[in-house]
Order: sequence, then structure tokens, then C-alpha cells
Amino acid sequence: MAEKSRILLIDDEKDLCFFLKTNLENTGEFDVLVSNRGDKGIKLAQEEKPDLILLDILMPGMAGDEVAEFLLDHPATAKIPIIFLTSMVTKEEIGDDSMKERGGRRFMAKPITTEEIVAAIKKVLEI
Amino acid sequence: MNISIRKGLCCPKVFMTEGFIKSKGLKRAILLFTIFLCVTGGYYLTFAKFPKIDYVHLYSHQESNTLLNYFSLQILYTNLFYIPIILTAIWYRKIIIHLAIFLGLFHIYLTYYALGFLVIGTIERVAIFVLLAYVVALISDEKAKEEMKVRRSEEDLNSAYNELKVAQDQLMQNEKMAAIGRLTSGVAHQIRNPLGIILMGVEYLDNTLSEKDEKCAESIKIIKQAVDRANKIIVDILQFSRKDELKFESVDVCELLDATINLVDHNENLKNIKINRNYPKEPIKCKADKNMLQQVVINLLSNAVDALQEGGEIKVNVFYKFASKVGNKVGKRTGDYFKIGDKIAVVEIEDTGKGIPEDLLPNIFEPFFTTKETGKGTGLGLSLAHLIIDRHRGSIEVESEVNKGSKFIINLQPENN
Repeated sequence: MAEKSRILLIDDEKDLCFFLKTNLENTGEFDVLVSNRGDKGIKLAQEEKPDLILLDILMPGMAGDEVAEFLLDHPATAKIPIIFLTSMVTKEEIGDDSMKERGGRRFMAKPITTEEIVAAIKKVLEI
Repeated sequence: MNISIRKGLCCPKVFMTEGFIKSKGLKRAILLFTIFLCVTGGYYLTFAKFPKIDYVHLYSHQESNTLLNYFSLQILYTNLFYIPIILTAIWYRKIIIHLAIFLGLFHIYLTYYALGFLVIGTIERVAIFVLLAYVVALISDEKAKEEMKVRRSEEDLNSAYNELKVAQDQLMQNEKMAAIGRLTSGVAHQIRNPLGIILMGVEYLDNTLSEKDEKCAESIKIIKQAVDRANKIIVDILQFSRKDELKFESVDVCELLDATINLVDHNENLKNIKINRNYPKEPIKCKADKNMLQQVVINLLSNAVDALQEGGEIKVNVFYKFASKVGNKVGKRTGDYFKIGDKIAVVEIEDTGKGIPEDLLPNIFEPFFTTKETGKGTGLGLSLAHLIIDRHRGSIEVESEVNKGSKFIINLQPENN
């Protein structure tokens, strides 16, 4: 069996993190690390070097885009792909793909089903 | 107050001083009658009753009585001459000098003809009464000018008031919409996070419950549908509150309608519904945002389908017309999109459904107003349509009769306007 992909989830909604982590891990294809704060998420990313980061935009303290900027500015984490999870854009804007790339950034609109998020992760990681 | 001002506007002949007698016809009749009286009276006295008085033998004959009679009558009828002059001076200032001169000359002629010479003071008298008439005319003219000024400023005030009112209404509407937008988009964003949790949680339950009975599976399905529904409302709201730039392009309206009808055509409820299209031979082109316009048509069509639950007909009419009278968004007011004579591309979507009760008609474009049963409509479809058409500098109107059907009329700017 192929090695599990390691996903880092940074979102301040603890309940969402819990379910998303469980649902993703239940597929048997992912290991999910969770951080509820932007700064801690960065630390975790630097230490663990995950394959992909799921990042909420609206967070107290350090917001998602600041986190992303920080990660991209540092060579150790610059290559990790990021998918933004947000309630700002609607599914209608994103279209049928459920994920949109805008200016090199990938967005997904909440609420997201597990199926959609798994498809998006696989597309980005090309697995 | 408004009504009286409007009446004033309907009667632009402000040079007619409104006094005791208001009817134009009556004024004319009185004037003609007095002129007639003067002329025929003078004629009768001079030529019929007292033909040529023998002036030389005046005092030695018994004709002195006749002369005295003539003079007293002449004084009477020359005074009569003042009546039409003064009336004309007040009512029809412009022609007063001609009439005064005519009547004065007539008076001089009569006197001269009757006596063979002019009595001292006749010409002076005529001159004085022409002058008097002229003065009266001047005064009357001033008065009328002032009145006209007042009317004008009243008109100006009235139109300024109307313009202000329209602007104020628009401001209030915009402010209301903006406030609704801010509130709802804030709420919508806040709701989407818990919705996400619910969806994830239900999926978790769906995957992990080892012994799922039928009721449990059904519940999970229902919760998922509810989340979907809530999300749909939020998407509508966000769309409503958003001020994205429209992407204007040349749109063939009939083509767009055909494409949209094809989209809706899969709807199962369409089984008993006939869609009739009345398109002109020439293509009708508009500058519009294709997706936005399509959304409007989808909203209107699905409303029509909902209104036709027992089957019926939907008519889609497309044509050009010219704005012929001031009305909704037609005129010179701020906020009007069409001027009189402008070409308008019209799309009508008409159904033979249950119609909209008259008392609800003013509300149907208000956000969150719906008559559909709970869960069927967000109450944003028509207000969204209204918003979109308004951003196209067009207008949307509705005509409806209960049990006969409804007609939605979209007025759009044609491409070459």
C-alpha cells in the first residue's frame, strides 16, 4: 500500500477540524495534522513538512493569507501546496470543479463534502 | 398640495388672468357683446335715430331737444366704449391698442358725421381713453408676468421636489439594500462555518455508524439536504449583496432565451406546460452580462412553472418598442434610464397561472418576500432579478390578474443605444 499523504489542517473551528480529520483519515489515504491557530500551524508546517496544507482564511490572530505568505517566504515550506478553505467565495463562483485557482492560489468554498475535498487533494498532489 | 400644482401645469395659458370669470369662452362672449353694443349703438344713434343734425339752426329750432338728446345719448354710448377696452386691457393685453384706436376713430367718425364738425374735447377724450387703456394693459401685464413668475417657480419647485423625492427614494432603497447586504453577507459567512461542521459531522456519522437502520440513513439524508438548502439560500444572499462588476458583451436576446429554456426544459414540472416563443425575424441585441441576464430569465421561468402546477402556457415575447410616455424609468428624472423616443428591447414572460393578488404586487420585488411554501423559495429570486436588470440600466415590471396569469416585462437597453 502506498504511503499515506500527510495533510496539515489549519482552522480555528475545532469541531470542523475534528470531523474533517476523522473523515479524511477514515478514507485510509491520509494522515491529518491539526492546528487551530495560524502561528502554531506555521511551526507545525516547518517541523513536519506536510504534503499539503488546508488553510482557513478567516482566523483570529494570524489570518490565513498571512500564514500562507509566511510559508511561501520561507524556503523550507515554500513548495508545500496550499488549498484555502473559505466561506467567502461561493460554490457558484468556483464552478463545477469545487476548487478554483486564482492567482496561483486554490480556493474551496465551505461547506465542503469529504468527497469534494478528497478529490481536490488528489488533484493537487497528483495521486 | 400636489394635485393643485398639477392642475396648474395642465393649463399653460398663464397670460389669461384668472379673476371672477374663469371661462375663456365666456370672456370672449362678453367682450364681443360689448364691442357689438358699442358699434351698433353708435351706428344706430348716428345713422338711424339722428341722421345728420342741422347744426346751424340748432338753437333756433325745436330740434334743440333732439340735439340734447343726441349729446346725452352720445355721452352714454361713448362711455360704453370703455367697457370692451378695459376688459380687453385686462384679459387680452396684446391687442388692446388696436381695439382702442379702432373704437376711438369710430367714435370720432360718428361725431363728425353727425355734427359736421368735431366737438371740442372729442380727440382729447379719445386720446385719454386710449392712454387709459394702455395704462390698464401695462398694469395687467405686470400682474400677469408676476403670476407667471410665481407659476414658473411653482413648477420649478414642483419638479425639483419630484426629482428630490425620486433621488431620496433611490437613496433610501440603496441604503436599505446596502444595509441588508452588509447584514446578510455577515450572517451568511458566519452560518457557513457551522454548516460545514454539520455536513462533516453527518458524513462522519454516515461512515462510522456500524448499525444503520433505515430511519437513521433517512435522517442523515434529510440533514444533508437541509444543509444543501441552507447553503443555497446563503449563495443567493451573497450574490444579492455583492457588487461585482458586470461583464457587458453583445448578447442576442433570443439566443439567450433559447439556451435558458433548454436549461429549464429538463424540469419534470414542465410536462403539462407549453412554451410558446414569439421572436422577431431580426435578431434583438443587447449590451448585457450574459450570465446575470440568464439568471433573471431562469428566475422568471421557474416562477412561471411554479405558477402553472396544473399545466398551462408560458409565452415568451421579444420585440423592440419606443418609449412613448413618461413612466417607470422613462422620462427626464434622475434615475430614469430611457428618454421619450428611446428604443427599448422588451422581453415578456407571460404565464396563464394563478396570478398575483393585487395587494401583494407592490411587494414582490422586495427581498425575502415570498408566497411559496416554506423551503421552496428564498424570496430573493425576483429582487435579485430586479437588482440585475437595474444594473443593466433597464426596468422590470409586472402585470397580473388573479386566476388569469402574470406577465413580467423586462425593458433593456438595445446594443446601439
